[in-house]
Amino acid sequence: MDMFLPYIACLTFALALYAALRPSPITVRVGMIAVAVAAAGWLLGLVAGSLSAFADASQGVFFVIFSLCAIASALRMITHDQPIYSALFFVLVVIATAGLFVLLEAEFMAFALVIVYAGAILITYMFVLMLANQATSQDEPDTQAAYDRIPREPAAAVAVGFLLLCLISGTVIKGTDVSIPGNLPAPGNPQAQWATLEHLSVQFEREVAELDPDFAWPPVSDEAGNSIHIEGTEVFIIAEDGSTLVLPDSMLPRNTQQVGWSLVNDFPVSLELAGVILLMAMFGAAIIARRAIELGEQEKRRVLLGEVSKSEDLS
Amino acid sequence: MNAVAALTELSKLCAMPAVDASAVIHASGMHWASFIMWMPLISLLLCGICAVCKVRSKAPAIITVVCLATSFVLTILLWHNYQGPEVIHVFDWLNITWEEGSFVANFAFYVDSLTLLWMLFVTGLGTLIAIYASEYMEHDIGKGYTRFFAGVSVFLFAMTCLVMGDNLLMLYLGWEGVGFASYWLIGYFYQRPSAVAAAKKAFIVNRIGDVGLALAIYLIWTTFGTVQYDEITSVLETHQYSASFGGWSVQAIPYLLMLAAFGKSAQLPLYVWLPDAMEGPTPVSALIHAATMVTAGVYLIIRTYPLFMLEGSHALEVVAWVGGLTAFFAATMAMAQYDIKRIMAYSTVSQLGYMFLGLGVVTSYGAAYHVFTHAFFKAVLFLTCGAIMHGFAGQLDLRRLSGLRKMKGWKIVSYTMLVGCLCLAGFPFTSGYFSKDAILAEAFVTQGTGFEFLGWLAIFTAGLTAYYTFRVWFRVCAGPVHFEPGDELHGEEPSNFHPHAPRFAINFVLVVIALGALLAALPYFMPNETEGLHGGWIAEMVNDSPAAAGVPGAVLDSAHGANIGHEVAHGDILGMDPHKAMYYISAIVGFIGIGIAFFIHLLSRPTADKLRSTLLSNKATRWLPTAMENKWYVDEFYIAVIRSPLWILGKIFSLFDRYFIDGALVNGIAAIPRVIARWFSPLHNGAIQSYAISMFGGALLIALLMLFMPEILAFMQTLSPDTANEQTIATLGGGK
Amino acid sequence: MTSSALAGYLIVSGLLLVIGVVGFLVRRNLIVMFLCTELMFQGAAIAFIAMGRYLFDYSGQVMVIFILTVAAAEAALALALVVLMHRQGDSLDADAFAELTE
Repeated sequence: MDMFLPYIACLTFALALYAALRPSPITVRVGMIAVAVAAAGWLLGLVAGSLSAFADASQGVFFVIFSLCAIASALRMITHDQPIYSALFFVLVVIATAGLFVLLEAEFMAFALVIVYAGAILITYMFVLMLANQATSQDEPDTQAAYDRIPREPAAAVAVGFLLLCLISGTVIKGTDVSIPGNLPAPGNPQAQWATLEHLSVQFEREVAELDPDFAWPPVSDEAGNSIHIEGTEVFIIAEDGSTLVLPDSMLPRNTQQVGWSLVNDFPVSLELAGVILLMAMFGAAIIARRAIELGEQEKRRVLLGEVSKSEDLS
Repeated sequence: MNAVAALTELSKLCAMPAVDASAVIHASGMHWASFIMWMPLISLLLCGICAVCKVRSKAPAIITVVCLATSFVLTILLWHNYQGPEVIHVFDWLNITWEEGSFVANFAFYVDSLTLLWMLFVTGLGTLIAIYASEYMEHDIGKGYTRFFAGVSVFLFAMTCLVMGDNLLMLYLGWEGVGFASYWLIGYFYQRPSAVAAAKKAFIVNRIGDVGLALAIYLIWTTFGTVQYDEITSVLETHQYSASFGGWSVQAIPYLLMLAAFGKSAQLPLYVWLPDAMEGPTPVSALIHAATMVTAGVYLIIRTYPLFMLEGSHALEVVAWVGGLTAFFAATMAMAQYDIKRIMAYSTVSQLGYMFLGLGVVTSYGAAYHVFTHAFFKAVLFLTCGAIMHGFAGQLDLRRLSGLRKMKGWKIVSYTMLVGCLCLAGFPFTSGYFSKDAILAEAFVTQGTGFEFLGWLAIFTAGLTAYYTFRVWFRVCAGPVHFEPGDELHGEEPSNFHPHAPRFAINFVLVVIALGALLAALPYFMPNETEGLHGGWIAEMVNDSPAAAGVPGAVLDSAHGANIGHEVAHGDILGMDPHKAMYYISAIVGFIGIGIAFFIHLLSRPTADKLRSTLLSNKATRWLPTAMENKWYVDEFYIAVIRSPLWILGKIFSLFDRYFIDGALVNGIAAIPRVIARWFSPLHNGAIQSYAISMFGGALLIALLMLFMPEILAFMQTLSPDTANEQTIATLGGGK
Repeated sequence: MTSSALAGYLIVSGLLLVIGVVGFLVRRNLIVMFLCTELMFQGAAIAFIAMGRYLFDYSGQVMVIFILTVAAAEAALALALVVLMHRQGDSLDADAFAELTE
């Protein structure tokens, strides 16, 4: 029975989602979203175990808060009638995701996410929504289009979603089942984090000098070129004369430096290509939108004038 | 040369050799005899060619007459070369043998004197009637003339097969063949619904009888192991006709054969088709329904007479009773009809009843003689009715025709009709007189349940016969001249209608057949060669066959079956020997009938109408004329009892077929793909999101299946522990 | 980071993915449909970051940078097309452009 509980949680989630999707009073929808969020929380609890899974309790609490917030916002986003609100709830999702990134010690990514998504992409979405007269108001139901209020085939879509969720949960549960040896990749070696520092030689030397001016530079490096050694929780370097220097945690490069180094060192070509993609996108958008707008304006002018002349003929 | 000497000479000519009938010769050099059968078949083929070539002349008639005349000549030749009963093998038809038994039914002829007797009048009358029909049917040249003669040819081929076959299977072939030809020819005027209905009725009622024949043949084969006549007779001889031979099946055979004979020869209760068969052209009625086909039943019984002679069997009594009652009932119906052809049809039924009565009272000689004479005089009566119909544009109602004998060109018709009527009525010294007497006398002679009552009934019926026959003649041919045209005016105006007198062909044939009817009395007087036999030439002919038991004075030994079975005791009527008494009684009865008819229908015709109206007005007697005119409501009874339930059953089955088999099964199964398609058609709605859902969902299901494969296999393992599955589980569940 | 925590992060990412899928298939407004694809991107991003953190490999975060890049490019072009379609049919209904039906 225990093995079915996660799937029952998935089922509850799916049913609540279905109930929330169908056109119904706002309170019912919000209630159903709450139920869905609760089911998601239950699922998380089943999978993650207890808060002790996290490094410390506060991390666990923040994880719960951010993840549930993200899920709740996402749910409201897909069930809301008005597209503007959907966009706004998406902003909320982005912010919650950023919070999760911070928990995962990826602060650069968090801020990049917020800047790019909430700051650029969502603004663009807003512009297009306004352009397409999507700023409807709740008080005037006539302005709302039917295609916003009434979803298409919610049952089939929710069924598909349920299946996908079962698949993901199943994979994750099986994947993280430590009773099966060799199931998970071994947790990473923290050594990798310190490796970056070694590549940042100028900063490394400066900081070692700040820490201990007497330290004989450079430290001893072994065959792989690693001079930083980790034993247990201690991180130290060994000088040529045999003296060790314990490196404090503050010397660890920040996330930004890590990402930057990885980007440039390991993925230079991808970096260039990403730039090219952006350039192409810019060109493309400009060309498509320009002509369309021009054409669209000409069409409108013609139609208006044509209609006017027609009506003059008739009258 | 006086008459006696002349007759003696004639008898020498017709003499049959005195040969032991049990020694059957398997001949021989007589293969040319098979042409008696092939000639009608050749005529059929040539008529078919004429039909294909759309011949518009009398050629089909000429072909048929020539072929049938050839058959007749060959029959006479065969008669002259007759040495004794022989089997002429034509070709092997069914010849199957296996270790326990065999089924042999070859295409072979069993020619004995009985066969020859039948063949003589069948082919003779066939030729003459074909000549008659060549003029009678001339209105139909181009419209069905060829079809008519093809039908006649088919009929004669089948009749030959029936009469000349040496085994019951050939008889059955001929039986069915004549039934088919009768159906074809009755329905000749196929655009008339009444004709089509009559044809169907004839065929179906005959079929009821055919069941009896088929079952009888099966039983005969299972008990006797053979269907050939000579072998059947020899098996019966070895068992000496005992009642214990074969058990119930052998006892049942005569009754089944009887059923077949009643169907084909129109006896109670299966006679209803014969009056309706008058819808066919008159030559057909004359040939098939008077002279030849309807005698097939009599022939069947005569041929299988030994089977009826088993010890303790009551079959012949049943035959006698049915025959006698039919004769009476049909005569009452004939008295009240106005259509002269119908009267003749009922008369045929009645006379056939006489023949069966004769068979039943063990005078196969009397029955055969009556068949012979009846063929002639009934043919002439039908042909004269046909000539009247032909000449008066289809008028057959005797209330609307009168005084024909005084009209120019109608004398021959009238006087040949008189000859026929005299014979039918049994006027002294006509052929009908002698043949009927033979039967009537025997009814008082032979011992049997109620045979004496049957005899008196038959005498009364003879009086009725005389009455209704002369009713026709006195109404139609005598009295003041008066005529009205009938319905088939062929474009003439009723006001200036002139009767169309018959020409040479019709007159010639009428005269020849009338002469034949008169001369048919002669055989009675021919002295017999065989010892102790009396009855003339007919008796000689029947004596040589297995039906010899019915020949007066025949030497009855175990080879001819009877002695055992029916005691021949001489009773007496009014103190006199029945044969002699019958001469006087039947003559008196005939005169009374003729006299009544003379009075009512010639001297004072209004008397008939007054009589009818008095009977109708009186409540007590009203039933009599109405019932007689409505043919005792037999047809209505059959419709109510047999046809209506079947019709209702047919309706029920048709509804069942339409709604269940067609509707639920066929259409239902056909609807299944349609319904299933309708379930799935909403999937094709053009919306990409919906397609995306379907594709995505399908892919996910497969992925889930692969993900949870080990669990599924384990679950299946718990359901049905099976060691063979463990390997599957190991291979599928092990890999990740 | 323990495997249970990792499992938790992956489930969150999966949930966001699922919600994005359901939203994409359910909504008929074109712009909201694209917004849901962005939501799917969010889910993927969380998964990458979490696995990267578990394995102490910064390729995960680099991947998210590229995701961001691609998402931005795609959003620009998709919105341009949506504007075009809006001019054509004066409606943002995905079903209004259902020409693939039989």
